[in-house]
Amino acid sequence: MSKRNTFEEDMEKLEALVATLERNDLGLEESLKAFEDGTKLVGKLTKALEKAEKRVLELTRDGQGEFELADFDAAGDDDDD
Amino acid sequence: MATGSAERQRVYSVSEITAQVKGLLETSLPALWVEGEVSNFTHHSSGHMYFTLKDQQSQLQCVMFRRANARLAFRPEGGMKVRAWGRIKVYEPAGKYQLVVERMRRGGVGDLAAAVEELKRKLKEEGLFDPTHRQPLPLFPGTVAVVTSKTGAAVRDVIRVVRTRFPAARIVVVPAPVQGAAAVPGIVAALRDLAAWGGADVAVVGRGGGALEDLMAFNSEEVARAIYDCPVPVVSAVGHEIDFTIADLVADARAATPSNAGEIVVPDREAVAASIGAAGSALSRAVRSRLSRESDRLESSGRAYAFRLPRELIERLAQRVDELARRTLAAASARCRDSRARLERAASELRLSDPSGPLARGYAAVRRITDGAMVRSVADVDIGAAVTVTVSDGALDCEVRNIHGRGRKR
Repeated sequence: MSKRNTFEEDMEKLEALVATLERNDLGLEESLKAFEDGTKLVGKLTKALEKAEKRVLELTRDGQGEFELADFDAAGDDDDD
Repeated sequence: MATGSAERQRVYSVSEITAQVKGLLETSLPALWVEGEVSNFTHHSSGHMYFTLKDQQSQLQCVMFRRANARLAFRPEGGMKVRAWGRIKVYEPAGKYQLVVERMRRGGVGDLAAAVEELKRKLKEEGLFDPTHRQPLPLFPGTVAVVTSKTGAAVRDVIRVVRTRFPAARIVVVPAPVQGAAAVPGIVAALRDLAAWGGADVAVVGRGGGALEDLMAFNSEEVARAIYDCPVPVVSAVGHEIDFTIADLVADARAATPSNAGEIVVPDREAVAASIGAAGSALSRAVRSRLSRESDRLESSGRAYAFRLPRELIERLAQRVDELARRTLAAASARCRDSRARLERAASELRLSDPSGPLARGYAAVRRITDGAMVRSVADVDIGAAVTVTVSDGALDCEVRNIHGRGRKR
């Protein structure tokens, strides 16, 4: 869940920085700082977006009944629908 | 005679005649649908179901073997109206004929739809479809859960679409049977696991299309409540475009098909990339305008800037701004120095023009009394004119008695 939060939060932060800068009421130094922070976020978000999950997982339980994620194996009869 | 004739007739064994009846019945009757009311229902420990179908006049013994009843979407009980599909078979050990049921639906199809409508009304009254209960879907889910059969087309469709659109999302399948008697408890358990696990940002729950009776799990009260209670936003994806299932009504969002669910749960990567890029451009545009305002302010007649690469540009501009600031301060203090110098100059000029100086040195100023005009020449007065002679410490009223000089021009 933290992952979603990070990406979404970063997007929100970026949008907020743009809005603040566009309001044009920051001091010069704050403007430059906002720009710098925003540029960092753009880089971070772009990198996160380019990342690709290679695996599909399956939620299962181990011997103790604890949740674990296993590689999803879709092989099997196509009988359910 | 009668007896003798009876003795001449063929005598069957019980097995023989039973076999003949069996042959006649089982070959002459095709697989068929029988409608009736369930009674004497028993679900034997072997897993097989035994019951009687009856109407006002007659009864029909039925058996539904474990393999077949595993796919039942409901639990039969006495008094329930059903339609059973199967073949008439003779059970030789008991000398009974019975319907071996392969499939069974609750009521007629009309009754089924009516039951769904009834449940819809009930759940609606309870507020399960209340739009205010719906959770917003995350814009950028990190993990997408898929609750469906592991082996169906639905799971493949969701996986394909999500991976194509937004590869950064992790996909976690939570397997559940989606039809048969196991579907309702299976889907409910999968949704509870999903909630207990807590790792998913959004869930797709569904299956590919099917006839109404195949979708019954998605019209069940239990699944509806499990979706309602699920803390993770749920997108229903039952491939049944004509009607809304109850799952569709209670879910946070409804997709027409599993592929469509994939489109709903994740954004398109290209679109996200474009909006990140747009935010970046907006940032540099805003800071450029900020800096350019600064430049304008500091150097209103300054040269126009050609803005290009943001980072270099900012460094250059930041420097430029510093430089402009420095220059402005310097100019300001220079103006101060100028002012002081001007003041001093003015002061010294004033000092030079102070008339008290010459008077103090013995010179005098003479004005005509009549009009106060300065007397700068012998021509400015006539003999007998009254004048005021100002000296360093006072003034003397005098009369011109004689005029000397280089001749009178007047």
